[in-house]
Amino acid sequence: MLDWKRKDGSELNKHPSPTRHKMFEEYTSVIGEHQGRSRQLWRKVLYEDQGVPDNYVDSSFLREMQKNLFVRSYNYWSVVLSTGCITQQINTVIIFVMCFIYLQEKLLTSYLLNSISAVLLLLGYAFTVLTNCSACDIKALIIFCTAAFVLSPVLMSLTETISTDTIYAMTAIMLLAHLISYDYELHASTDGVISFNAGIFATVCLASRLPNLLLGYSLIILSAFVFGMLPNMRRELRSHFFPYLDIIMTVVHFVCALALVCSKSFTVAILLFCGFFFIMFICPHLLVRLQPLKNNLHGPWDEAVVVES
Amino acid sequence: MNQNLKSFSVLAHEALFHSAVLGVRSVFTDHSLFGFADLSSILTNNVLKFSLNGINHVICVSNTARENTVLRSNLNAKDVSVIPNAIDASQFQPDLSRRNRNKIVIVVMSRLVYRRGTDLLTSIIPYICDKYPQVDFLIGGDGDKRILLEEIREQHSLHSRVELLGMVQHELVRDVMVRGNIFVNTSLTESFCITIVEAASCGLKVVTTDVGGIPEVLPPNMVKLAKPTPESLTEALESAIAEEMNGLGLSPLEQHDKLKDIYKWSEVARRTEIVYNGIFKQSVITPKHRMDRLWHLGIVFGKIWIMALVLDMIFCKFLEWWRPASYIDKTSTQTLARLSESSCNAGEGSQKTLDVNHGSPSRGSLRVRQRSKAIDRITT
Repeated sequence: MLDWKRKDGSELNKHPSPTRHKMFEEYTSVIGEHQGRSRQLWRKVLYEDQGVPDNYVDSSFLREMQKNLFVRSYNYWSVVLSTGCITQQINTVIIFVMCFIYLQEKLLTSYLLNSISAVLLLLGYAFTVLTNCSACDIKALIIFCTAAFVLSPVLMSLTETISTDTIYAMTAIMLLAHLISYDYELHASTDGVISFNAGIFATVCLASRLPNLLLGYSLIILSAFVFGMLPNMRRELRSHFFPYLDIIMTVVHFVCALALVCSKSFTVAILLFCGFFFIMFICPHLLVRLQPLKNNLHGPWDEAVVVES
Repeated sequence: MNQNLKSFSVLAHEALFHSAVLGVRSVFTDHSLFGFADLSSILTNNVLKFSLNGINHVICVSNTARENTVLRSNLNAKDVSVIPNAIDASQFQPDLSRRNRNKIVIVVMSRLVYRRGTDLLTSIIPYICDKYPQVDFLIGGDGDKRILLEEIREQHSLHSRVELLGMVQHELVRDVMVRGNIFVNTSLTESFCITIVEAASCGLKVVTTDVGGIPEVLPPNMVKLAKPTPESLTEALESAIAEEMNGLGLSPLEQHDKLKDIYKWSEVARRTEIVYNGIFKQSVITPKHRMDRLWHLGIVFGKIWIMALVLDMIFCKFLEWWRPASYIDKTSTQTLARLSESSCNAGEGSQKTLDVNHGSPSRGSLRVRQRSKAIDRITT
């Protein structure tokens, strides 16, 4: 062992305990043995010299570590039911896009669409009154419809000069953003501002491709219903009548969307069907299978969370 | 990516990376605790796993920090030593003449940020000031939560009873502390809280949250531990106030005398030296051996790291040709390569160690400098 001396020749203070001077290769991993001068249990303290080397590993090492304290286990069918909200929203967007295509090809007249929108809005109003939902503000919607009527020429000409390909690309991106940022929670926590704005922007993009002013107005009214009112309505319905109404709604949405797409292109319909099957049945299976592999570590090193009382 | 990155020293890991190529043994000293749950922690821990791949030894400042480091970097626990921080007890001596005889002063000395639990502090100040008219608060430190304390002061009209000192220089900390009777620490996470040792050395009664490595630091008769909730802290603080009013517990001079023998820089230096001497017996980990380990460590990132290592070796060879190592003076002491040292001093199997310290800024870097000075003193 190297004998350290100060430059002036005086000795350094040697610690009384001999075990401290053990070199590392002399110390084999004696995990679990209670060494020490006084033959007491090793304690996890720093203010006392317990007579063991600094890299001594006690049997209580990592005993306070806990794994996966807050992990929940899922039931396959309840997860499948919960995917209904995602399917519904994707189908809503598809129906909206199909309406646009029909309007463009003049298969759907603006009068028909307006009357459908009016009926839906009235239904929504009736629903609001019945369930006393404060989030469904019918007055704001009426103001919006009037303003949209006045401003629809402006809205339609906003993106007129942009080429059609760019328009379609932007619409696709905006609708994707809408789906990604949409609030799928059972009880609305955020206002869903980004998803609403993305939807409206997609509408404005699409409206400029329509030949007629009235058609454009119809689309804008439809979008107000789809992006503005429908999320709240659906959330209310789901919170009151879950799960049966939810299943019916999912099926209705799915069938409508598929039928509309089928009339235009069979391949896309098949692809959609496969996509939805994946989302509804395969993804829950993956979630349930991977959940036990979680490895969350908790211990005394965790930062404390201040609970606001 | 917010405050965890602040305490993650890039220069330290760069130095560790170069030590692989230079054939220098390395020791890593970790001063802080990390979580595992959020994104920044996950990424940081992964980098740490790679960075500490070829380390010779790691030093942690508390047993909890050691468990944390072992879990984060997948090291063998035997390769991690626990060497706590220390204080210069002669700088933190009690001075009873500076105390106010008619009042009980509670001192708080920390950065006023979320991590240091300033929110907890704002919950307990109004209650304590209301219940004990003889209690005053003296708060040193600054941060983005200072505004909360000023709001509390305004709301409850405690201008004369709560004094906010702002940023206090390290040299003046002791002068502020000796004005108090009780010290409160409300940290939400702490690896080894040196401030409570300084406060205890100045003779104050310490009330603190029991997070991280704090329960290991002070003996039970010198500290009152509490859970990080307002209720628990208030209870502990009230018992400390009761003790102070009735003159119970250890006297300031007794506390100082006991503490000055527990945490000494000479002890830290001696124990660090044992670590250094121990790793000199180990063989230098060659780059090839390191690359073998890296290959299995990560499917993609391991290979990228190996490529970076190879590039570094080529660069080192170029530097060896440009400025040969034989032209550079070698230092004779063991205490080479602090944080600022990263030049190419070649030396296979030489008696050199790279000691890399990293910790949070301000107090952490001060602790790093003090450790280095202590090691310097004992080996020259």
